Amino acid sequence: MKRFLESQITSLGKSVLILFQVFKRGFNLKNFASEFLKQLEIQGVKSLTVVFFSAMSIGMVVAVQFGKNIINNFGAEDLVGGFVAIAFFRELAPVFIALVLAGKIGAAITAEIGSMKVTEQIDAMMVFNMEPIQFLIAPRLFALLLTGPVLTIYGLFIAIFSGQLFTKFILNLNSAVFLDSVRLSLGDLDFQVLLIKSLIFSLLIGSIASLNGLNTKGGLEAVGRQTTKTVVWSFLSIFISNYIITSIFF
Amino acid sequence: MSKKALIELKDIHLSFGDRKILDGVNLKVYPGEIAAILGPSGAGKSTIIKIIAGLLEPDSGEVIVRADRIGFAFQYSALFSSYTVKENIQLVLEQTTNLSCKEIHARVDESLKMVALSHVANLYPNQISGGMQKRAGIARALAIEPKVMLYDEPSAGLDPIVAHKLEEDLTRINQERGLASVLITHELPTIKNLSTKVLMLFNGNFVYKGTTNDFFYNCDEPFSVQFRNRRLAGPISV
Repeated sequence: MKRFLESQITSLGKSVLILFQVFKRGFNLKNFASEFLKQLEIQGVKSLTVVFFSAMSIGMVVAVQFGKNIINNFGAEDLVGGFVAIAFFRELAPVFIALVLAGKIGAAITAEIGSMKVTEQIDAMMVFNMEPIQFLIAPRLFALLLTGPVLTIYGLFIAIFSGQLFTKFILNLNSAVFLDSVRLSLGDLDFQVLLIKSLIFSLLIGSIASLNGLNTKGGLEAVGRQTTKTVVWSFLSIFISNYIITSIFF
Repeated sequence: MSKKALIELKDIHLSFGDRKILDGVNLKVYPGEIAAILGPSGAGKSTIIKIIAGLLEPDSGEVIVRADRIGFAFQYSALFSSYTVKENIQLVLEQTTNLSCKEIHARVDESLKMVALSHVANLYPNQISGGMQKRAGIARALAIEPKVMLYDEPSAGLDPIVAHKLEEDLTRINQERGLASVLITHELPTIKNLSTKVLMLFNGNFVYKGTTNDFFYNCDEPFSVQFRNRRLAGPISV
């Protein structure tokens, strides 16, 4: 158990070191730009559907649950929108979207880099003076730093909008009351913390996924093992860092 | 030999955990030579070329490579899967040489022509056969005009006619350019066609070193004889 914990902490430490290496090695702008744009499409555009449906389903469920309880127990219709917005801005949207991204983008990064490792493509890069951190990791990580927050905000609006729609049709809650409550309950800090969380979660997912990809050893079955590891580590690091960030700001 | 060896390994030791892989390996390869390293699977042949390429650090010993560029033809080609065959060569040229855009295009065309792959230049590696991938990998390695060339099973998986043609081309290129090459293969015809000297690796060191001609016709070293004659009985247990 002690050895397991040590190895997990060491690996998480190495994930953080990957970030420093990305900045230290610098960029080849031409290669970076083309790979970065490709990654924006893979990570961003191709995740819109999954984020849409995930955010819509959680938005509906949370709004209906909150709405029913608040209206039935307190009769406070004007608080439903506010409760839903605070829950989504502060916790649900950044965490939930990050979990979706860890499962989709993090796993894909590890699988791709891991496959390149076992098929000696990473070795080939090194032989031909192409630094993997610069060529592979940097564009993926920076694309994730952009797509993570953008998808979080996109998911947040989908969730709140679907919540508003469902409370209107199921609980007959007036849309204007719901949206007024949303507007009045949110402050600048909520939006800032949302961005901070999504940036930190994206950094964690990207660096953990890259490290696990680069550490793939053995055959193709090792790629599966490393991909699972990425999802588990990302989930744990998201939960732990979320607790820390929430404790600091609220 | 008056020329300096382009590849020199001096007393190389390497272990993976408790397992000793290389135990005092010495090797010199001169311009124009192709050294074939033979040995049973897991003997450490690939480890040696990875050490020469700088992909692995030995535990001790000295590695001298007198070349600014090293070409490496990987066993499974190791083409970059998200780039076309042409882009694979182009990218490597951009990274390793100072050629102009026009020169790079000319070099890419010439390299693809050499391995008869001009017609698949714009296809991705997963759209061409394994044999084509292997030839594209060799073309990519040779395109940078290295002084040192490393081949890991260059003709495995190729049909005998294509393999023979490729071996002829590689022999010619090696002579013309004065390359120092190291070849890893299990294929006896490839050793005969391509290499100029043979080194038999067993238990972490070379148990035989000699010319290719001597290996095939005059060598009575037991490991090499068993390997050469494909015998089940002998010092190498199966």
